[in-house]
Amino acid sequence: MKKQQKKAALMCMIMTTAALAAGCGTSGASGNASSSASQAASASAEASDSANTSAATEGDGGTQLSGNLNIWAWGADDEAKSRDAAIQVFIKEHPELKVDYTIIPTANSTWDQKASAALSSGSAGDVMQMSPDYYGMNTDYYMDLRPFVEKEGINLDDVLVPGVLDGYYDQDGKLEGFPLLANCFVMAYNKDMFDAAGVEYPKEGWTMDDLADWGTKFAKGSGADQTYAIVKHWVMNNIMLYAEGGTPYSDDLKTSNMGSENIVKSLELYNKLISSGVMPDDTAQNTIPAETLFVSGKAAMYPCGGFEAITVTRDAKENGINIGFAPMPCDPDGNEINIQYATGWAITKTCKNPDAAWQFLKESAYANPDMLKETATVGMPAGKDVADNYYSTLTYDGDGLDNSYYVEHMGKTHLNPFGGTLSSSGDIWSTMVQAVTMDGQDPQAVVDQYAPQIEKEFSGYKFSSKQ
Amino acid sequence: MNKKKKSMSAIEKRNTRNFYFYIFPWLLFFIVLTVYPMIKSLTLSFTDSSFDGKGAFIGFENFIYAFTQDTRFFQAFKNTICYVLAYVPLSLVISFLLGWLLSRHIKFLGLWRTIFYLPYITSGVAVTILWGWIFNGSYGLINYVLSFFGITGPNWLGDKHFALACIVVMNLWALGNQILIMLAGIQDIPASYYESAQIDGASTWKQLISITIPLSTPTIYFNLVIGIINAFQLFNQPYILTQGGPVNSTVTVSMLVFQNAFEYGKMGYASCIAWCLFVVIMIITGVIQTTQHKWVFYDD
Repeated sequence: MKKQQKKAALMCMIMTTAALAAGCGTSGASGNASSSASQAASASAEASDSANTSAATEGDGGTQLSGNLNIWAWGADDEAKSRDAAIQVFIKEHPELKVDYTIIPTANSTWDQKASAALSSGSAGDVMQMSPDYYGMNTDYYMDLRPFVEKEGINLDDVLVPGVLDGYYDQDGKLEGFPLLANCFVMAYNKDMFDAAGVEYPKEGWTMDDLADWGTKFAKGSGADQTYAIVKHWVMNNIMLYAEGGTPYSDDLKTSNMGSENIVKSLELYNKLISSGVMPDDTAQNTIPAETLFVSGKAAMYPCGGFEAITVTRDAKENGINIGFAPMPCDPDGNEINIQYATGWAITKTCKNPDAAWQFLKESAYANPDMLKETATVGMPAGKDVADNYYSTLTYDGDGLDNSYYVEHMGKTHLNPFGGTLSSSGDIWSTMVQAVTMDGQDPQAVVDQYAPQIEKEFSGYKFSSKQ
Repeated sequence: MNKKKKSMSAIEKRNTRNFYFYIFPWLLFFIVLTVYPMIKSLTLSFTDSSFDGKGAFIGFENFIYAFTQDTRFFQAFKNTICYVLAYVPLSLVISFLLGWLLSRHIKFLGLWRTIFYLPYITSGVAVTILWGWIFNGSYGLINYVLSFFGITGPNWLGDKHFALACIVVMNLWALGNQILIMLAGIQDIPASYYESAQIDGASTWKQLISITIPLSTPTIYFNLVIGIINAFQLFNQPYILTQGGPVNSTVTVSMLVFQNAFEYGKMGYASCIAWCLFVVIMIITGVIQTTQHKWVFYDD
């Protein structure tokens, strides 16, 4: 009896140890997947098995495709659904490939943590989602895609929306990613609130200075009844960078312009907007999501990204709010201030199936209309044909918005200024905004204090693998 | 004689073997998941490593930068130390008093114990968001109540003078575990001491001062050390509620480590900050450990 107990105890110990070890080994990917559709992302061992069993077929570029393909994507809610649907299309059309994929949320830097850990340990996917506004971050881990493009022998200008590829080139000319989609913003407004306040709807060419004047007519009430002219959407810090004609840094990313007079003016204007109640401050906004504030009739305007247009317009309709759409504000020189958030794919240097990975990138970008249509639910797809003839015709609830707006205005955008490598400077800019708008500090003094810190950050950035 | 002492009986040998056998899984994971990362982190702190953990050796540059140029480094330590100084003493006093009250024969004792323990088992993120609403300057419950008295409350989390205090208050709300430990410690005091004191005519207050507090010092000591270590690692609440704002007034050392490691990709510098925090915690814990014999009384 005692011997049996010992044996049982020993078995339990071995099983526990094995289970712990197995759990540890797989936690990097599958254990962290959030999407219901996501699948385990362990791959290397399976790749060889699959390569032996699956039939080899020919890709568009004349390459024999077979084996495994492991894809890491990010997204939540509608974005995750879109990503999932597009990958499913690819899977369906490529039975010769065994595709594993995982979709990870970006909130609270979840994606950044998991992706950086996987990239540095060499356990990342063959294909990783990335963004040009990461400004060279992780560039050492990604393949140069120029040889694939050259082998393809296609003029990308013929198949991609103009400008969508530009941000994927590193400073040293390396093409480190390939586009999937891009998004910019439109200003949604509550027509009922504008009518009640006796204010004309915003028209092309309106500025944030204009808003400081007529926006006060919306700043009413207190407590739960308080209303604002515009929400403090997370993109507003970026919009305000350009509001008085400033730019955060030089085009070559080498020099910070954050100490300029334009930035001082932007901070003064920002403070005016918040202190007069035209816009809530950070704390007020953090408590109630910006979208909720707008669709509940507590704020008259909302900068609506292409990725959230479906949700915002649907919620507004459900709440009986009549909304219209206007272009984003302009700077004093009449240039539209719009921010672009773009997303693409990269192939990792540890990729075990580069041809299949490139096939996926190519089909995601331009070569598979069905995949692009799935992508079109959350942004403008990179492929010209689908963007022009399908995406731009999609309309939303509300007066006057179809996706042609996003296509037309994409060329007038600034790429998200403080993403990836530059995020430490973005955090300092957020502190500058808070110092002025919440702590009542003098804008000039704030710029004098913090601009040198941003310059210091810029001097430490590395943007390409050659540096 | 010596040989006899050194030789182990079969039972002792078996026990020793079993000891190492049973401790092996824990030891393995301790080495892999704790010891190795600590050594790796120490080596990283002397490099300019980014996400990949590879970087050039730069000597003490990270430490020099932290102590001479990074204003947020000092701000984070200042905020964290202020938090520790406010939270730890208050948490000890409140948890002790509540533990003492709950050890007494009062009505609905079980209900009170449940009520005080409940916040501890409530989801931290949900509670933090809830407190965000309570402290909200425009819609918050506190300012709503104050308005009945004609007082316009401040923008609690939006004011750099109040934001950290709000986080202290928020965390004091969830002291259930400390209260439970205090209660267990107080209940462990032999009833004979109180009976003798009562015979001698000692009041409740006198019993508290002369018996309960001195004999609870081992428990207080335990809560003090654990409380300080946990308080120095403050992260969730400011990260969720204020993201370190306004104007860095709630940025903590742990947040700084997180930001540098996972948002800025500065693994080397993040490791440097983490080791500075570790050293501070070790020094403080060491001071408490070496002075505890002066104020901790054990009933043996």
